[in-house]
Amino acid sequence: MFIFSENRHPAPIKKIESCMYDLELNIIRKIKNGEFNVFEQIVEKYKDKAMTLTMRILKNREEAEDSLQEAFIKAFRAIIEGQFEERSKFSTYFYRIVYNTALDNYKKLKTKTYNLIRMDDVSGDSGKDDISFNEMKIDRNRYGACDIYRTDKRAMDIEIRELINEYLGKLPEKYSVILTLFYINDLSHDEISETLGLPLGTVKNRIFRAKEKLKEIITEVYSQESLMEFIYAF
Amino acid sequence: MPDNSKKIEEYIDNALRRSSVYITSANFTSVLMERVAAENKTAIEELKRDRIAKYIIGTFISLTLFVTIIIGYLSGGEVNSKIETTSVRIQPTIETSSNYVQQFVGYIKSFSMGILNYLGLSATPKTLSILLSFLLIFALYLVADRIFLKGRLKTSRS
Repeated sequence: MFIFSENRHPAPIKKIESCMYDLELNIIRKIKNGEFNVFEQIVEKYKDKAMTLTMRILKNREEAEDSLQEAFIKAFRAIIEGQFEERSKFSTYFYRIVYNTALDNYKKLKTKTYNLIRMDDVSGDSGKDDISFNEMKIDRNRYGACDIYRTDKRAMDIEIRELINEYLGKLPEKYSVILTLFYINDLSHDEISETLGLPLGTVKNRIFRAKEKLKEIITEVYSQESLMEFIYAF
Repeated sequence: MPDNSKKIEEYIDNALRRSSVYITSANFTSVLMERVAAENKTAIEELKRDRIAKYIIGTFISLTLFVTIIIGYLSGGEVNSKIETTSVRIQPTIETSSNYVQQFVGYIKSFSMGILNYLGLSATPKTLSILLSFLLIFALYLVADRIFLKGRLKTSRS
């Protein structure tokens, strides 16, 4: 099951971010002092965004939930054992745990037919030999029906969202994980680079390429005219 | 048309931010918090065991240090005691056990001196006893650490 997150806004204000950071540090200090129940606040804050990231790798709900539970336990132990240094952002540290745990679990479940491409695989970053990216199939016939009835903006919006979700589901993991970390988990380019251990240039390039591909798909499905009409009306 | 392209890009950015988020199952947090509580309990117990293990190691090391110093002191006073005991008659059993200790200390001394001579270092009984004490303490700490602390970590993780 998934939902559309209506209330997420782009780029939160720095002041709010710093406040949230202080609040998180406060929670972490309380956990260190033995108030383990406050960990629930961290769970509530991160569980769905972290679940999305885990799903991008494992693609199976039950396995993703198990993996996420394991990641949360690891994070809890890291806090009480003092492994988490308060100098860095907790979110970056936590998502690194989530990502590495999901990858480890993926390796354990390797017998299943997943299509995981190693994150550190840089082939295709040049845009020439990324087979799985170029051959990615999106059923374009499923979309574009509302292009005929241009007045129904809401239907078009829902359809485009479905298209984007299908795109994210079919996109090779080395792109979808980065897009999720950037757009859903609100990590900066630098933080993604730190979390995944990839060069900053590679992170930026993959975001750019994935967006370009999505743009190409959208403009193939919808005529430029109706798309612009929709965007201006939206 | 570049303006249109920019508008489409902006729309894609927003659409990606509003894209689907997977929701965890309803009992996810409660199940997790139960596990966290158990983990917390284990961590507290480990901390206690850690502390006890450290006390044991500390006591053991202190005792070893104490015994080494005593042996060193006894072996240092060897000459004087010999002079004094010539006129005093000592029970044969005590004399024998004292001989064993002396033999043992002598063996360690000669062994350590041999090593130091081999390395080209001069050795006096005092420096030797200090060196031996440190070596012994270090070895004991390593053994205790491996048995108590690392062994504990392994069992807790499995």
